[in-house]
Amino acid sequence: MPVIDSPPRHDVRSGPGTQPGSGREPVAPEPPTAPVPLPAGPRTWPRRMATVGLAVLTAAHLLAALGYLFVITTIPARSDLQTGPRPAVVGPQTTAGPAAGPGVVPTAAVRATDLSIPKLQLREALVDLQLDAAGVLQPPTNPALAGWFAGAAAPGAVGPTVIVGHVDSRDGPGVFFTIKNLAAGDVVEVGRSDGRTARFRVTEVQAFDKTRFPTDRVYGPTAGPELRLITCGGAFDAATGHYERNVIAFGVLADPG
Amino acid sequence: MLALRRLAAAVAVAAAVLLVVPGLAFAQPGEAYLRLAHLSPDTPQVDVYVASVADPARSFVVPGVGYGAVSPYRSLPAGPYVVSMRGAGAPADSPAVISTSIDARPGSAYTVAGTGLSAQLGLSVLDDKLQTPAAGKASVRVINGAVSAPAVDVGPANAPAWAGSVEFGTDTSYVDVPLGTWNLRVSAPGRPTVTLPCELDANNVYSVLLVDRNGTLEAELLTDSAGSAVVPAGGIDAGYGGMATSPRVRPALLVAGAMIASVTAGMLLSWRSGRGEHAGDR
Repeated sequence: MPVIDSPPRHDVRSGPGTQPGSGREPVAPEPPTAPVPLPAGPRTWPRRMATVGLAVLTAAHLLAALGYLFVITTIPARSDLQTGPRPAVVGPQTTAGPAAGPGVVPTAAVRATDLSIPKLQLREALVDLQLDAAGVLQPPTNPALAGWFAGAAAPGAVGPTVIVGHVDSRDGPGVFFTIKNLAAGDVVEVGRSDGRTARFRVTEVQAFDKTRFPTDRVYGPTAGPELRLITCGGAFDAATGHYERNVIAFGVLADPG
Repeated sequence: MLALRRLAAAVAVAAAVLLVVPGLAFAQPGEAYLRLAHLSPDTPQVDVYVASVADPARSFVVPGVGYGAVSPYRSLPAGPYVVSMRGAGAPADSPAVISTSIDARPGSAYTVAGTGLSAQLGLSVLDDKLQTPAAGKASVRVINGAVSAPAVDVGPANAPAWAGSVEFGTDTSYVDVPLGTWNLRVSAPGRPTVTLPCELDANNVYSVLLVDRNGTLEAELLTDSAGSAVVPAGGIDAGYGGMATSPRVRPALLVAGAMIASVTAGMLLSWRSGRGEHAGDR
């Protein structure tokens, strides 16, 4: 069986400035300007009433602004995610050996050990995920940890490699808070227990209602080694304590080289 | 009134931004898989050209593909491709022996195979299954590239065949079969029965490929695709709500709405009082 031998292809990488500006503030309406003289007309309102109304409105403004500030400041800033001693750049293990690329042939004993997403400056060890009694995949209890599902493929093996992390804790970002910022072309590396690394290329990031979770797309057969990074998104239902959607980053094995 | 109109426009923009930002659109899917096979027994080695119509930079050549060879899958952007075969070593601009076009759909996998005897050489585009087999099953099909076996039956011993009378140059649709270790029997009229030992795993999809090698019929098991052996139920609860957009966005919307309303009312009031002043001055 001959091996496909062809020149390396060009990855579609997103350039700077293409990611959604999550920190960007919405365009604010023009600030109210000082009252300008307006054409004369018949007197309809006493001046005192207008003055009182303006005072009330100004007070309402101040209250509203204070309330908004309160809401904003009680939510931890997203820069919390980037603090700590995490290395900013991935080590060179992907190029050190013949491991990366379609030639990776894992055995059943191979496990995923760590996850690295250079674009998000994310590098984490992986824990094992479990199913609950109902067969539902459980993320790590600790929202700072990401986990790998051993019931699916080992990274680099044909099939879906499934990694799950929390989008947030009760009071701040979780390990996968920034997954939604991934875009087609971004690189995700998954380290293996045999010291090799599977290098994936993101093809798509999409949100799905949990009531219509794409089970076949996530866990179904794939013709090559693929990746699914799964976290939560959409609206948070305070009644159930859960988000209504799953945000899933899909990836395929990156081209060698 | 101009100021009011401007304000109305600004309000519309602000409202649009506030409403649209939380529902960010995500990129569309667009990946497919392609592999190549040479299943024409009397056709010499070929170079296979895969040309991307949409992006010529994604075109590639697989050189020196001989009878019986099946390439690994290659992931490609979905879209139209032209697959051509030329004799091994023939110039790239020489006329192709045969070519076909294929519209690779996102999330699909294809096997493009040179089939039949060289006098009637054809390029077949096989749809490879990427759907999960029935629970507790694997999926199997048969691809007959052995001219010595014009019609074959494939199946377990002492049981109904999984595929019957598969003609040379054709392939079957997939059937879901029980998992486990099998000694599959490949039988063709007038030919010794061939045994194919194989292990079929949950949620995997296979092809039994038949070729002639050195005058004998050979059977080979190809793994077309592999799914998660264990398929969890439904979605995943992976968030506790601390960064939920709702508590952040809803107050923002309320506050923005209140501010817009009060600014509008304030301007109306000052306008009216201004008019009143002028009227009073008269």
